[in-house]
Amino acid sequence: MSEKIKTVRGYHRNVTIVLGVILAIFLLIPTFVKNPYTLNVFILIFYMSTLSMAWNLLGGMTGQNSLGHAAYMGLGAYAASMLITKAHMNPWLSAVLGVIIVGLVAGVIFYPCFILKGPYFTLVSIAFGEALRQFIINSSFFGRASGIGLPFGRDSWLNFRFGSKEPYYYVGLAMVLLVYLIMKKIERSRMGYALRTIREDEDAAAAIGINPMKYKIMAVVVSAMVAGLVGFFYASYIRYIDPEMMVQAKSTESVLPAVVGGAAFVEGPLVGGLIMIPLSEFLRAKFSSILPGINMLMYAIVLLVVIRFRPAGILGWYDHSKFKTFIDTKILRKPPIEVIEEVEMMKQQGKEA
Amino acid sequence: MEKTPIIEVQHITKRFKGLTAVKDVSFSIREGAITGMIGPNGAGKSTTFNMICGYYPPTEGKIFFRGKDITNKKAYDYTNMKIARTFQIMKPLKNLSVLENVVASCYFGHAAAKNQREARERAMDILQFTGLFEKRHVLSKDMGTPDQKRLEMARALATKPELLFLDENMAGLNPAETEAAIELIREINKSGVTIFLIEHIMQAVVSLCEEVIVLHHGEKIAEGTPEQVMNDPLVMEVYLGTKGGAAHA
Amino acid sequence: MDIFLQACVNGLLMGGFYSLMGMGQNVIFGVMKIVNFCHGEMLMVGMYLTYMLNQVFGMDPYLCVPFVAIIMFGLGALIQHTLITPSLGTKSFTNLLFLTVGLGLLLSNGALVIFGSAYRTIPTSYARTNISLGMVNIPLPRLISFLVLIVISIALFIFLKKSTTGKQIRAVSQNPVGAEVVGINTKKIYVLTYGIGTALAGIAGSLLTGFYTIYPTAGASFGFRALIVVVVGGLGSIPGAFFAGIFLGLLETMVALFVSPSYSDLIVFVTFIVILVVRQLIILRRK
Repeated sequence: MSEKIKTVRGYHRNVTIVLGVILAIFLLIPTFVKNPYTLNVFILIFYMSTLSMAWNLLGGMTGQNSLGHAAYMGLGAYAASMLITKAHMNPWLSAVLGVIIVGLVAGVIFYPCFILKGPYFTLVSIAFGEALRQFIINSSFFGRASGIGLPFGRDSWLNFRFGSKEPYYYVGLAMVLLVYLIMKKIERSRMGYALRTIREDEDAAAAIGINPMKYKIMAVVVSAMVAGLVGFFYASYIRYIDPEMMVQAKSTESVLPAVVGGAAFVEGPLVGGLIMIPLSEFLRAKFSSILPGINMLMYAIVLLVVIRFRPAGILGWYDHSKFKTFIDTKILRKPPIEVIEEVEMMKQQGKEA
Repeated sequence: MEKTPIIEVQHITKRFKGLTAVKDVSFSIREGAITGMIGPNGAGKSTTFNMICGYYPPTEGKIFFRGKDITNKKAYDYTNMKIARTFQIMKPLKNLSVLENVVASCYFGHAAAKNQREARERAMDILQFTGLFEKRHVLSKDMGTPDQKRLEMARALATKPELLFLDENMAGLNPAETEAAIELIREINKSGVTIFLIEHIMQAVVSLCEEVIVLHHGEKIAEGTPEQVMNDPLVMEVYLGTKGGAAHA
Repeated sequence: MDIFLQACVNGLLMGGFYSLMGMGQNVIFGVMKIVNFCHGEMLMVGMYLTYMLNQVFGMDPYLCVPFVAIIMFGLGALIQHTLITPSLGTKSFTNLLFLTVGLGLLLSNGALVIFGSAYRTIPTSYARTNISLGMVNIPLPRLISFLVLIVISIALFIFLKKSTTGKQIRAVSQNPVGAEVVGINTKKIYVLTYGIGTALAGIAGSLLTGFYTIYPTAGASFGFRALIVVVVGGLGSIPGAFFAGIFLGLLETMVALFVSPSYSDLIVFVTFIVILVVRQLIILRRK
């Protein structure tokens, strides 16, 4: 018996070590990589993956395919930027307020839209995003099509503005980690089970006592708030926003990491983002001056190939691959699932006794 | 002394765009018993069932649960009232494992689990009880019909109901599987759960139910013990197909 | 008054394009229950095809229409056969959605790579010719386009209503399993349907080139309007799509005339959201 406990402990330790090493690598990257271009790519990976995680809560976990997430991101960026420039509020405070505003707008304005299902939901999400963008273009209060610039100045943590990329790198990394942990927590919670039950079948969900409308609203509010947070980060990093950031193509871009990585997994957007964004940026840097559009063309091809041949995404493929068996058994030394369950049971009985 | 029935249905009627699917049906379900509803195809069984489960409200009439009017309750309120149901066309959460399917149910209803540990523990117990324990890590879409039917029951039981509605839970099973399912339903009933089921298979209804209701063309034509119902001349005519009734059935 | 009449005519002429786009989208959605998110890009491809035929062979844009229709039909059939039909098997709405979204990205960025982002036009001798009808002036290219697309709409309607293939398409759209049972090759119908849908978008693109600029994202606004037309006109209804398209064209020009041209997009989208929600409320009420 103690043999089993030992193997399970060993496995958990190995997992912790591997995750720790990955985290350490990301923490150390700015120490070794000083090239601003490369750091920029990492920052892009961080915020695009976060945006994709936001989408994935609604799309992958709840099965509501939104194509309007760039609008939530834009809304967050605009709300925070307006508070900073017009109300002269501290950026951190305006981030919190901005995120709350996005959540409210998503929950209240979007509420009636949730009676729409399947493709109709997707359509309304596009129309919602586009309407919001058109509203901003037509509003002089929001700076119309010319956008809003954030003030420049000396480096300051208080004002969240820096000349170098390093601080943005660390804040971006913290944002990815925070949102990932939140998503992981949601997945394992009652809400996560409710959302996945709704994804599989709304009638089955209602039959076990889930109010589909309530949980869908919760999902859209959380999802929009995370997208709004990304919007704040984007605005602070680029220091200029305009309605272009809300065009529908941007919403599509936010979905790709999740679909390529595997929309059924919380980690999907991270894996997809780590692969797709460097690829896109590499192509952009290499070819965009010669052949504009080539990076998005390659992007589209990768997307089509993944959907056609690996419909569950990279993680969906990995989950059933020999590669995973190899990693689990040889590197992590994972014991059979029955053994893990048995040890967990024993631990609980030990606690109760 | 007559106890209040757990479910009392009073004169329910359902019309779909002019078509009357169920017409003025009344009956009651006795607490602790197994009550069955039979009838030929198109008799209005499923429509009646769906109204009692809150899937859609009746056009006319009322439904009472322990004397309380629940006619317009939403489907998702039912598990809070300790009522659970299964679906004729199984609705397993296809891309989730059997264990996760049941854990999901443990999180909802009147006795919702407070944390993951409690939900998992209860799910494990229910999987043992329904005989699905060995298959707990299989994706539910990869299982055969008999196991999916069992999973339907397991998911309903996980909400700790006192009243369980089973919608054609034995359709498509072979005799041996039907026998096993009957055994399981008896076990559930013995544990104190009142059961209301609609079924095609005569054998199941006769051996399980203490009371049977017969529907035909949306109307109730008989009720009583299985024996009484089987010997009812009208039932024999329309359902069992004697006296040229085969043409109707 | 004549400004109002002129606006009506302009709206009508533009609405015809929305109708044609909507009909193509409607046929595809009706049969396969998938939203074709690259429908606007198909229109754009039709525009560039016309442009190339004009540049290489010196063909008049209107003469190109039948050729564009045939090529686009082939392209659509190929896409359906190699990409969409296999993915229909996974029954994953998400995948089908992003398949067409991906195709849209592929086409618009492909056009950007091949032709660059420059705005192109096809000059014709009659581009500036106006036909005067009492108080209103109608540019000749717009009038020809409108007449051609009316003819095509009627032809499509008759084809779906009367021909054997048309009846098979309608059968599959109502009940694919039942259609398969009575011996209809649904896969063939899918290929045919998607081919027809893209051909219609291509024709719309070709007809636009007489008076519209050609650029890689020219199709986007038409693509989304096609979806509006499908929802407003009703699923599977060709006459519905026709009138919804005209309605949309008129709505846009009326908003531009009475409110402000810059608000026309905003009002179109808000109207669409309201229509979607109200429509669903009516459906739920009926249950």
